[in-house]
Amino acid sequence: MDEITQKFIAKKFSEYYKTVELWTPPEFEKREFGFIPFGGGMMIRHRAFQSKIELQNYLQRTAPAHAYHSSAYYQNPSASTMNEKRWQGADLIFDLDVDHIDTPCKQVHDSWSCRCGYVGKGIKPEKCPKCGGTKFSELNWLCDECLTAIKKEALKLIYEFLLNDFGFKENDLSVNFSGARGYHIHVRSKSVRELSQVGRREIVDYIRAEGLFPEFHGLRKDKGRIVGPKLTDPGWRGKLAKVALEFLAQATIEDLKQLPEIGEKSAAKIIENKARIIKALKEGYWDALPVRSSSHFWLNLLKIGAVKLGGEIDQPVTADVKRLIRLPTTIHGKTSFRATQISINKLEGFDPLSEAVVFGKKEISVQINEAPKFRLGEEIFGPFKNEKVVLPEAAAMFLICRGVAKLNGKTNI
Amino acid sequence: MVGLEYLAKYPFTREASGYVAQLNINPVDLITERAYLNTRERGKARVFESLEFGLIQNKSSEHLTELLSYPFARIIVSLVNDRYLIRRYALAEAKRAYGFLINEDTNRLLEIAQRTFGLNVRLVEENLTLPFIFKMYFTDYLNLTENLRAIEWKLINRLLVKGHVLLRKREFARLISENLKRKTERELPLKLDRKLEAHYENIVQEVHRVLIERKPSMEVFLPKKAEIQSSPPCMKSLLGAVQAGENVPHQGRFAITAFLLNIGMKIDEIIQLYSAFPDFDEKKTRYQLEHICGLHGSHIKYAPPSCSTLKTFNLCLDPDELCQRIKHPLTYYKLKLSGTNG
Repeated sequence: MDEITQKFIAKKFSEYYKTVELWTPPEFEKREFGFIPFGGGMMIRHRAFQSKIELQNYLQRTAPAHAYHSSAYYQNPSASTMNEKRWQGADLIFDLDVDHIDTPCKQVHDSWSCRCGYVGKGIKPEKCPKCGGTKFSELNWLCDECLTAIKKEALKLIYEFLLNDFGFKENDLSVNFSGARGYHIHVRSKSVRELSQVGRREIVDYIRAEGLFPEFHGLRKDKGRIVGPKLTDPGWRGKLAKVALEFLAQATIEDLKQLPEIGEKSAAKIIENKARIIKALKEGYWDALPVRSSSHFWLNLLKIGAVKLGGEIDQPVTADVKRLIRLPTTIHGKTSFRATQISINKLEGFDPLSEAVVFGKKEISVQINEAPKFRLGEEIFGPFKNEKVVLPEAAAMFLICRGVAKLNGKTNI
Repeated sequence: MVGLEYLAKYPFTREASGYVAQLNINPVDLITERAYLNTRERGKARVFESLEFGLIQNKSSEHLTELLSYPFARIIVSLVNDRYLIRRYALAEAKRAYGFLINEDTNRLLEIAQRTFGLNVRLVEENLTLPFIFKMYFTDYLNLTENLRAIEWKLINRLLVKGHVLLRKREFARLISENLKRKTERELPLKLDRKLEAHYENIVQEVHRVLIERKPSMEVFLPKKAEIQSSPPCMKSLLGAVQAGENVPHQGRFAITAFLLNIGMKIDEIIQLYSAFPDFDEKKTRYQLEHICGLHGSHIKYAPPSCSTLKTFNLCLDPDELCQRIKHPLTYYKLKLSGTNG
């Protein structure tokens, strides 16, 4: 980013922090804060503030690209080593990011390039198909489809897992749009504060269905029959019944043949007897399959299906007990959107591309390198390629923060 | 009101320690008075059996003797003040308690969990046609199962209903005994009057003598051929735990064993290393090691688990930069080794 553009952004961010009603986490004085300045400097860590005003003044003065607070509570949050900080517990945090979900639109708007020069579309591969390298630079974009997909994941995590299985109350949870491509959910109940890293890992595995064995969820042989969980069962039992029923209801011969040990003939037989198998399943009997080894069939199916039903959360974030997480109500420097708190009952209808937009309609002239078509609020912009355009401030700020546009030299700041 | 028989069975409960406290017995009398001869014998047995066999046999001693032998044993262990002994003793008391707990009445179990250990537990009131009797709040459950890494203890393999993990009676008893083990490890050594040392000198010496014989050598063991320094952080930390005589869970033992064998350590060297385990059994250990080497059964030589499996079992600890680039602990070792050589 050139100097003039950078100064412009800093001025805009600073104006925002001057008037915003800043949110601060409970037990504010026990939290560590961290900031990343514009221009790609090192993260400034180990900061603590005595009052909200002090923090707000700091944000206004330095206008950082990113502002974070610790999920942890410390006796001395500004100490520079963990030992001196004296950890006193941490909130439980879930991070859901579009990066982890393969939406079809990524083939259109995301790309990656390997050091060897090989370029591809969509999610980056584990290894470069050409040179086998594992380091890539990525270009990704935010779109409605991606943001809707990740919102669905957030809703599933909240209702299926956090409220239902883990029994949290709605007001134990604080739901936030991250300001870019995902959602953060903070659980601040006292009961979770002292959970260790190991315990938090177990929660991650529970949600992601990692290490699940259907045998421990009621799938067993009983008096010559195979019995299994029912839809109405709680926890993963009910979810596994759902996995099986939904798979069968939609399965084609081709789907079935994907499973180990299932050939053309068995698959056809299963399709023929679908209604009967489903009826038995609903009664808790898992042995109406016309195949030789029903239990193998189910074990294979459930292990694959459970992972799909599990939540797509970023594992290290939840397992970590000393993570810095974006401070709600601050601006995300890669989008110019506000990290926004949302009440749970409003989440389903939440539109980040209008409700998290900070900047307004004043017109600004920018030089755009390249940008796909995008929506902000009710307006659609682009696509753009190597052109000078006059845009409303909100759209201009968004493109500048994405790193694809700069101020047109003549703009008066 | 509970009877003396109950207190003798469960001398670690709040009720038992309350009862003993109001008897107001001077610990000096415990070691000197003729009246406590049987108490001393039973208390010593508690300590020596723990040390030698890792368990405490049931003896039909008189209830009050049985009860008082518990604080007496704890005084001895505290005065000897050795981490290995404390761990051995805690394990044996927990095993002893488990033997009683699995046969205990449901409400009694619940009462012990709540009153003595302050656990957030209840009886299952939902009318589930399932074998679960108890439920425990998941944070307590996670805390207690941290060292129990058999796959059935993993949260994902439990029934979790509105924040509570459902448990069978046997499992519940196991968790109470696990809690007792941890509590004992945490509480010992007790803070005692220095003057007691002189009175207990003989018995403490006696325990020391057995301890020296039994206790595995704690010298830091660095084999020449296998380059332990080049191991990934997870294996170093497992090895550290092994050397400190900590009770490493099954999955962790398998991982470190397979790793050490794969980097060329000899079975005998590993056995020497493992003799520090509180529940060490040479014959069993040798058989397991040979099994991993492929000398028994399927003749498959086992490799250590991959990074992702280690993560699942919570064994991926303090990953460093190199860890970001690898997917298997042996790859780490090879890279590190080639790095130091070249």
